[in-house]
Amino acid sequence: MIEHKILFTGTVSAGKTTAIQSVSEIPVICTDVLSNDLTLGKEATTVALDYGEVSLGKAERLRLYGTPGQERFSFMWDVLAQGALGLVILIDHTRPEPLRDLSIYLDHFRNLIQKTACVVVLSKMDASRPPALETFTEMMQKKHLVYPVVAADVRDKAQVLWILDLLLVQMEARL
Amino acid sequence: MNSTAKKPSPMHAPRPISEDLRSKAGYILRLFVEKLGGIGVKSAVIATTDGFDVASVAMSEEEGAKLSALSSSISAIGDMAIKEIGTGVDHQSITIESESGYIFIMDIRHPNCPMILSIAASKDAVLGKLIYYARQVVAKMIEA
Repeated sequence: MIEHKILFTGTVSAGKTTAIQSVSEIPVICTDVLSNDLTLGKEATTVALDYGEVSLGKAERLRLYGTPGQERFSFMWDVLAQGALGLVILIDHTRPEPLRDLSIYLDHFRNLIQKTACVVVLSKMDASRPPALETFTEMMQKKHLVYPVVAADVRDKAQVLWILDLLLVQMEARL
Repeated sequence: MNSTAKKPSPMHAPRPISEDLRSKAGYILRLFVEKLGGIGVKSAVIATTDGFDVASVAMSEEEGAKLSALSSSISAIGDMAIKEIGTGVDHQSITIESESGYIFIMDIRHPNCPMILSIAASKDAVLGKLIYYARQVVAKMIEA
């Protein structure tokens, strides 16, 4: 059995816990607590980590870790990044400055991204609202980071599996 | 969301921690640190379970915010471990010992606003005494 550690990070309320719950074959271990911050627009928020597992065929298993979204928990980002072989960055497209949000995660995880694999996922995206998907791709190109950017509904298991596939393709290309 | 809306201060949650609760927490913490300051207690913070500073003593606002966020994560991992291993439902306290000191974290099960007490102490601290008085802080905060 080959096991890979995959890390889900990104903005608050982008759906990191939800994405892991959508595909995990074990009950997801999570550290959600009651949120005091009304600006987050949700009841509970992750303060340490989420953990789930999904197998791909008989030979491979992915261990899925989720980080807290809030930047004041960035010490957990570094702890969780250790040993990760791929990064999924989820951006809530309805937030005021999604491009700036993405920039924070790209800069913080730059080393991991360049050494491993990365997919950027825009969640809750309404295609009629700016910024367009291409704007995100262009911003990444300016940073010399060429990785897939997709829009997805992470409540849907098939779409999360597709995101993981996009990561695995990159990981295999590196082997 | 309106992008021109006032951004929340990173140090404090906009709600629902009342000024009354903050000032009580500050008062209780100050008494605690005054009492145990002579025996190694360096600083203390009371934070919400999601890591916002409610009150802190003997540390800068930045340090208070940092210890609040760290304690929130550690406390949540403590609860996770207890549940997964089946030795209870919630953790009550966590002690981290280093070569030169301690961080001691205790749960405050306030009915409206669950919080955490986090204390930094040097190796001079008598852990039994620290825990005894920390329990009193927790009991007073639950009533606050």
